[in-house]
Amino acid sequence: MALRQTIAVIGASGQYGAAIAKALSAGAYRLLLMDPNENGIAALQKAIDCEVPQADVEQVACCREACWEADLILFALPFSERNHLIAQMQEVVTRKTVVFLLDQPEKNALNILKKQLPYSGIITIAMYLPVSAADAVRIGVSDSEAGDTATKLLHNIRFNEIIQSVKTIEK
Amino acid sequence: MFSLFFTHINQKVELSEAEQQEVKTFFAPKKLRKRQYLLQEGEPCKYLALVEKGVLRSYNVDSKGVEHIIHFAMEGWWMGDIYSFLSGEPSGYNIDAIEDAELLMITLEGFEEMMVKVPRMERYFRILFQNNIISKERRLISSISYTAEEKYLRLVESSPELLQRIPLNLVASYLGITPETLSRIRKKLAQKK
Repeated sequence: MALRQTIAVIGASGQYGAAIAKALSAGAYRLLLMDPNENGIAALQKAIDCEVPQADVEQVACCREACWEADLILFALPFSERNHLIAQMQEVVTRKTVVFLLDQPEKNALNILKKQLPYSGIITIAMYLPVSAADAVRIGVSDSEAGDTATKLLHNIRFNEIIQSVKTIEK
Repeated sequence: MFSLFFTHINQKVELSEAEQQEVKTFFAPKKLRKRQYLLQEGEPCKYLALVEKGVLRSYNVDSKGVEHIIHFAMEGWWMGDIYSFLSGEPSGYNIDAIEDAELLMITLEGFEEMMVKVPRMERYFRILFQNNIISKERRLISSISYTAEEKYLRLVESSPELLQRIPLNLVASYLGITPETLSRIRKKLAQKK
């Protein structure tokens, strides 16, 4: 039996965060859900408990606590809201992979994040680009190990299909 | 988060402030809940972990499904399957948390890089591995030549705090005796007092 990876979804009650959290809940992961919108996260937990009763999911109020316990962090809040949360998580994400879902074009996002979290593996995914855009354009990777970890995870949960379905609903 | 870590290291080698800052960048802080695994049999051991808080155990399971505890690790102790860690081979052990735990974990790649960047850590780990060999030899001698009572008394002497925190069935497994035998020994020793 393989070890359960613990994943913290920061911004889990947003559209993308919730869709990804639901997909992850069906896999062999332990999920920690965090969002400043606590009502949204309680509703998400309820929905997951109903759809995937065997899911290993927990709400965590504090970003730092969630990131401390996690092996991998998925940041799904708007990019503009990152700074104070990065300050909270900085100390506990050393040598961990942090995946940022970028909601809007941001020049040098990967370099900015690498400076803010110099000892973490950073992945950026440009959510504003079409899913069909080449991965090399849509995904930024700060180091190969983090890239491998994130690619494997995204492949396992059929990430592109999730995003495509959210985008379709948006339209 | 690193206070116990550096207290432990500075007992063996003295690191400057700059070296401490460098060393910190190689360790992933990780919380583990009670009963959560750090390693499962058949998987390669990817990390060596220093316990900042809580207690871990390593154990294997025999063909009859009986668990045999190899080690415990509490605050300031290291845990991992060193053979699997260094070779990348699948481990024969399981490691899980007996209490909620806080760990500082390092990969082999980080370990090697740290030795180059902070050579004093190489000395630290040499001392650590020496002590580990001595401790393993003592445990081997204890298991082949001591009576159950002698094994228990040695544990009482060497690790009294551990005994306060660990359920007796796990202590019995560590000593290689049944819980009933341990219970008899403890009763006998209590009567002597």
